[in-house]
Amino acid sequence: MKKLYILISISIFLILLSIVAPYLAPNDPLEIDFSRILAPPDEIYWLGGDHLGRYIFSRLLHGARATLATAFLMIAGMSILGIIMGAVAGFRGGASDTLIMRIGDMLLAFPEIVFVIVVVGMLGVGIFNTIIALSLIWWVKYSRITRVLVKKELSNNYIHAARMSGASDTRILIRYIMPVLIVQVCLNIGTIIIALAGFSFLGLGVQPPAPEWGNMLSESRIYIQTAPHLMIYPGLAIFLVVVLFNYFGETLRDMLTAK
Amino acid sequence: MRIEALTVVDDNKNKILDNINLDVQEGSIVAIVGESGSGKTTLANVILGTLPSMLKIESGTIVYKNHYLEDLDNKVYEKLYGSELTAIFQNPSSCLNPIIKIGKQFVETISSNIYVDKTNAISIAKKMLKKTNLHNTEKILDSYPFELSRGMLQRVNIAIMFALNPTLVIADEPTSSLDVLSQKQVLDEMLHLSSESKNTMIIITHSLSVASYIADSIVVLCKGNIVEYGAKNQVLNSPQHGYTQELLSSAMYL
Ligand SMILES: Nc1ncnc2c1ncn2[C@@H]1O[C@H](COP(=O)(O)OP(=O)(O)OP(=O)(O)O)[C@@H](O)[C@H]1O
Ligand SMILES: [Mg+2]
Repeated sequence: MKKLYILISISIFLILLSIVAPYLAPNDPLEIDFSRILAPPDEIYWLGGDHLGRYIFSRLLHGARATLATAFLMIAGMSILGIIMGAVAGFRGGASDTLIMRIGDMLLAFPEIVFVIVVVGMLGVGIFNTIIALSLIWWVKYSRITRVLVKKELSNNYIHAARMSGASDTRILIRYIMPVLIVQVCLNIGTIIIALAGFSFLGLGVQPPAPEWGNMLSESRIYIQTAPHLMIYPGLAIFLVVVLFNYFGETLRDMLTAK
Repeated sequence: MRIEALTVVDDNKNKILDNINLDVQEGSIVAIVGESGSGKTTLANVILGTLPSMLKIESGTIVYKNHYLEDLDNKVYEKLYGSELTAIFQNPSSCLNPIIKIGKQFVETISSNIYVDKTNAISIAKKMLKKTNLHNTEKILDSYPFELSRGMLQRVNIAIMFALNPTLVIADEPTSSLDVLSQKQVLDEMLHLSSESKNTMIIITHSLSVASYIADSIVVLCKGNIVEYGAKNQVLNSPQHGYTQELLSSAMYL
């Protein structure tokens, strides 16, 4: 329990930090300083300069907002869509169930990168279109989990009894199914951040010169041998956030599944 | 509540219930007896709107207050459950979530039906538990279901259901999984609560002694047909149908 509070505090702290980061950043993340190209870290420029002499520390702070905001947006989009579809399929059953699940199968049959490239190709390059494209396929995962949980719960006698005593579908969903889904969401944030970083790396995410951890990695990949700190810091930031949310999700899961 | 010419069939058109007519008087306790497979649970499911999908209502209607079966869809049922219509089941321990404390479940059920705050809900819960003769209320509300005996759990279930003050209670074999002493306790509490709140109760049982103990009138169901329906004494003392006589004589041996 205490562990959970600590993790919640750290996460909230991180989110707040990403919101106020632009005010904390010592320099303009877009400012180019030719004297500091690929400069190694020192006391004034903590994390050094990148290939255009921009300050990596400032870019990391500014990038936190874009990285976390896109990840949260993404997870909100796909989980809300997925939970609604899964709940409809699970509670209604019959034709709606079959229809939703078959649509899901169809979407999963697409390789996701191809799907994203097609959608982005139609809607234009940009992080929002990538998020839309990914939400359109990844909701399937949530809908499947939700559907299975709903079906499993509905077959429980105590759910039957709860319904007979006036519990509505919504209450059953919130009471018995949401806790499990919240854990899923937390465990998923890490994956999403990595995936979005991957799409930024491919040029399908946040567009340069705006800083985002994924595209910082992508831009600096050719300097991996001459100036590894360009990749190390954004990589480390991604790593830490992913570890944090995974740990958070697992703690939550242990707490909810323990009696 | 009234059932008119109700016929329920399964996938192969076998009649599970055949032309059932039943008029249940408001405020009375009706027992439905019959051997295993006679269709008692199916009848309860029809009334509760929880008929398994393999079974179909072929004809007939149920009139419940001013609702007709035809316009009873899931939405309407969802509104009826709890405040108007509720059920008590055979296995008391499966009716409560095993991982949530009884108090919390009790309070949640009350507050999802009646608009009261938590302290009021707790005091209602305690009052109801006392009425079912469970006096150590603090301890019971703070227990998980597995910490209580089955007889106690069934009384907790009854307390929860009656806290909602339902107009019609369907109890499917409420005492069949209990020992003889708990059976009597549970029946006593049900009698006491239903006479106090004046609700209608339909009790399904295969035991004539349970039926004769609690009911005002008795329905005898045999292979999906009602073979006898009348006041308790009339059915027990002067059974008209051969099947009832058989049931009565076999009950003697127990
Ligand atoms: N889900 C179902 N699908 C198909 N047939 C069913 C189903 N449920 C019940 N039946 C059939 O309906 C008939 C009556 O069953 P029901 O459960 O109503 O009997 P019962 O009187 O409650 O018996 P018991 O005393 O054993 O509980 C049985 O012949 C059974 O085979
Ligand atoms: Mg039965």
